[in-house]
Amino acid sequence: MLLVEDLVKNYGSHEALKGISFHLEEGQIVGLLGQNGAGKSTTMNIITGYLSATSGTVKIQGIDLLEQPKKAKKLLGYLPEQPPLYEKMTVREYLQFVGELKGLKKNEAKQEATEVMEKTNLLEREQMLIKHLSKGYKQRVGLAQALVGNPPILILDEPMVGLDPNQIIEIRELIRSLAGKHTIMISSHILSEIETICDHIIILDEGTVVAKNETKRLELEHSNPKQLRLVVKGNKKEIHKILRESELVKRYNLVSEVEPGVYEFQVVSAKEDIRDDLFLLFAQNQMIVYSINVEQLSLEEVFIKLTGKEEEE
Amino acid sequence: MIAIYKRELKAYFTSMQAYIYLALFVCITGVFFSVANIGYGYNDFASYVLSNFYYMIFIYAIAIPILTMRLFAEEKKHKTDQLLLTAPVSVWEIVLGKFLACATIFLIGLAIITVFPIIIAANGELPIANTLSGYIGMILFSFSMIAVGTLISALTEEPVIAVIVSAVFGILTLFSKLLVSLVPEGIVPTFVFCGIIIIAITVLFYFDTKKPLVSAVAFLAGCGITAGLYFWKKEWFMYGLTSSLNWLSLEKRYEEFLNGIVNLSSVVYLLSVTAICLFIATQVIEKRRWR
Repeated sequence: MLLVEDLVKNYGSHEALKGISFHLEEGQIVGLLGQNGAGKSTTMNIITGYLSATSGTVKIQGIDLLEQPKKAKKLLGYLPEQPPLYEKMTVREYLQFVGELKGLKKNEAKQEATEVMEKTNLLEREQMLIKHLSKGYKQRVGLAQALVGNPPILILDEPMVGLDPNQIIEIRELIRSLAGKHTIMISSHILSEIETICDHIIILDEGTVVAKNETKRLELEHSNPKQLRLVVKGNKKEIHKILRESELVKRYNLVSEVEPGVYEFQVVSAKEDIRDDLFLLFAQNQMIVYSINVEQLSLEEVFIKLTGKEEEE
Repeated sequence: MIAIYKRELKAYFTSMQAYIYLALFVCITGVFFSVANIGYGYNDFASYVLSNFYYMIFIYAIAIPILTMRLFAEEKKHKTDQLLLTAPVSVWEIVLGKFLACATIFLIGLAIITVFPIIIAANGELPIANTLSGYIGMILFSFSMIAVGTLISALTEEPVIAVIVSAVFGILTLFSKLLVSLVPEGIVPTFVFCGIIIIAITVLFYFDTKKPLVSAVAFLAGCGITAGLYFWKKEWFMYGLTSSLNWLSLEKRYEEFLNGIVNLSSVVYLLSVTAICLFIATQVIEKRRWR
């Protein structure tokens, strides 16, 4: 659907992208994550043809963006970081203009404008000047603009930035409603924002792809099988003794008393998977194990681990 | 391209710019018409109104710079260029659409003031050939000035800077005959002139590429070509400076039209200036993507 190969972009001597490759399958919703300055906007600007890459190729449904830019751009809808709105036009005028810009005839553009306004709940504001709209509505007009012409691929650059929590939920719902009909790529530097919508995630750091996978796999992949969460019922002292004396356990510490007589421990094992052995060990001592889990990192923790920095926001 | 042309034309009218421009244009033309054609009773509209120096200053150093300033500078400022450049249209279509919208506004003004020569024709004898060639000259000259303004607008992000630079260019163009007459003839001034041009090109080259070696090579190549020309055609350096400057002068070409001469080489020259400026504007925008 969308193939990006070995993309390099230099701004003077600064290397913004250092060889990025990935591809999007039809119908996927992919999150492009990274801190500010990691290269998200640059990547998106190159994919949509606003900037040219220093080297590398972008292919949209097999069409090379450099060789057939017009044909390739027809397949894309783009919402840049700052929505490209003409403030002195009304919502309808603007969307109709975008339709004609994308090669629709006047009547088609009119119809298309009505359709995207329906999808984005803008019909009640169609005659308002864009400069009089609130930020959330402007963002919606930006999204509507990307939808004009029903392009199979949508590229959305930080669609939720600067919106209040209610507006974020609205836009998120809107994007979710588009899933299935479009292949969507969303960039963000706030994980929680896109974790729930995206089924795949690509993490960028300093111009390189540091991870790409399904959202769930990414969490699993970066989990450490040697770190376990153990919940066990029994005498506190005895549990301590067993854990201390066992060769299976390298380190452990008590996390909390979950309920009276039930304790949660964090255990670092001495070798690979010790879950079976640990269970038997407690069983032999007549103690009941409620659960043993491999400790999973949340996406947030994966992100911090990979980029080596705390999030800015 | 048509979508961009239509939007741009509409924007002129929604921002009041077109109304203010047209009102002022008709009003000022009317003043000159009243004084020269009605007051003094001259029947020649082209030589007494269209070629009046103050009238030309108003059009080419004030009106056209204001009409062209926002064409690209504003798009960049509001990031709407992202919409145009990621849409399935090519850059030359964008440039041409904008240029034609501005040219249309100018032509509307020109159409309105045709009322004045008609008044003359109704009440006396209008030198038709002279008036026609004046109109043709004005259209061609203003097209090249609009193209220059478009290019300047594409070069900067600030509409204010665009308007100032275009106005300065307009004034320099209108004074070019006077400026050329101040240039001394001879070998030394010619060399100084060539030197200034070579240095200017080298500096531009350096700022563009940031490569000292390439700029140095360009500088040496410029010097080499100048020296070569000197040994090959010495007479060019003795008498060529003012005549080539005069040949380049837009104003000189314009004057011919106002005096009733439609010279094919001038038509071609003014059209080429228009085309070249629009072409460079396309390249400037195209090139920004590679930075």
